[in-house]
Amino acid sequence: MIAEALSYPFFQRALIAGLLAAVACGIVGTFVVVRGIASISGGLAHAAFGGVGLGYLAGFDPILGALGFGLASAVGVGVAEQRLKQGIDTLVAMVWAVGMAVGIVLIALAPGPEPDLMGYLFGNILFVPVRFLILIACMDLLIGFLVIFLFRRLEAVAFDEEFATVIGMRVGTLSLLLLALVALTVVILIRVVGVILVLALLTMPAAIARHWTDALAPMMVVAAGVGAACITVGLFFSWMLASMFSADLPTGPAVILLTAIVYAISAALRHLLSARRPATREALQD
Amino acid sequence: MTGPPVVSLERVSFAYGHTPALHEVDFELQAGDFVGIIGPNAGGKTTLLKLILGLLKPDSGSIQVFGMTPLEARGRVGYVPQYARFDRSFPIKVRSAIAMGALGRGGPKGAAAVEAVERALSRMELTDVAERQIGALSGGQLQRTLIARALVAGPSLLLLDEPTASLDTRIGRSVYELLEELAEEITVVLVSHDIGVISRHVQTIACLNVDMHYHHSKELTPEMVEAAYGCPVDLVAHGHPHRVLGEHGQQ
Repeated sequence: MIAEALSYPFFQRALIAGLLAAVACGIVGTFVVVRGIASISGGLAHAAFGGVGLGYLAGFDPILGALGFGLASAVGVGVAEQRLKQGIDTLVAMVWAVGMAVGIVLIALAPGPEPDLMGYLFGNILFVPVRFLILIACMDLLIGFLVIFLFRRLEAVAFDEEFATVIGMRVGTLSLLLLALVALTVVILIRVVGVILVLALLTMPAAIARHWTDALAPMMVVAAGVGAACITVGLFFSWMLASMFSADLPTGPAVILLTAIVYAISAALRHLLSARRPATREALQD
Repeated sequence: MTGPPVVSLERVSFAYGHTPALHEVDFELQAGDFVGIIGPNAGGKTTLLKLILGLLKPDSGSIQVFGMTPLEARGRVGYVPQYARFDRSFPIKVRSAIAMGALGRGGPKGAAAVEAVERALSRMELTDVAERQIGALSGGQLQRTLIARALVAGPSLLLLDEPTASLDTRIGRSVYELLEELAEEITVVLVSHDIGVISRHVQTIACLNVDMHYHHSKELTPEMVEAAYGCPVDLVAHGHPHRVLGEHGQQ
């Protein structure tokens, strides 16, 4: 049955899209988790939906609209955070809701048949065009290149922003860059799991990886691997259900639920192992 | 001594909203000073360090560091934050955390940076734990990690915020002995609410509780302490050369 699935070009494209998305979500998700910017990331995902609406209204690829809106919101939120210092929570909530409202209004104004809204909200990985694969591959390369090139700096700012400021690092610029990377990743993931479920893939694989690693670089690698495995298995699982029971199991939610189960198992295992191995805690007590 | 003072504050005031943290503080540090600033919690000690570091701007008055503005002086000032406020679960190894110190303006690059990190590791007696995640360190080890990180860039001035709980002296020297040694090379300022500990090690003591009391000496007058803490504290002005306070503060 697996071989049969793999013989369909649309399934191959879905699998490639999923694996490429896992790379971005492993790398960027690690920063999201250790820096605690999950809610900002959620805001960016929903803001990007405004761009989807603009794409429909103006007649260009909605993903490009999402990219534009996502990046603009990243810069907006990032600058506001640095200026305001406080109240970022409210700002994120506004961006979150206003982005959705803009998207819905623009789609309503757009001529022609109602587009596949569910696909943007909950993902539509089974019907990705080849040009989208090329787009994700390019974004992966860009994210990978920037993170490798600036790894030490991004790590330093995530670890201790105040110290980074004091020694004269360009903390503001680096923080904005990180938010821009989050925006790129969010746009990739919208296609895979949709606006509403983006946060799960951005946080859970990295959180699982944190159970088993204690440095950023290995955490990124493990997170990407976990994400890739969950997306692959989720994809096959929904395929099998569809062909066996002709039940239409949406892939995005299936992937998320699977990742959540893996998280629960990983957390329980980690807890059991560290309880049985007090040696790792010894150092904390002296 | 030639050149401008290391730090010079003139009539510096700072308030958080309507709550004054510092009131017209005058303070001058010369190269080689080793000063302990004591005062109660919320007495403005951390605020003073943040002003010197340029993290805060004074409401009035002027601050110069090496004759420059605090922002211009960045890269020459080492900073050791309160380690108790630290997120110890952050996935970073001791060596990487220390290497962060080299990323700033004027920090060592390439091979020189690697060498500076190794030197800081061995000087702070951390070589054995260099590959540990920071959460697996003792309080004293984490404290020394943060000092090592500040030293990597080769600062001429070192500012430390509340390095008190680092008294686990089971192995190696205490943080204070390491600081005494450092103070022979660079200017060191440490801030603490713990009079007893601080007074045994530093050269001179200042009292800070919104107002600053500093006389370039190690002698604490009852008036200074009373002004700083708002209550009389028993002082012994003679006896052991490194003892400023009575049994009271020493346990």
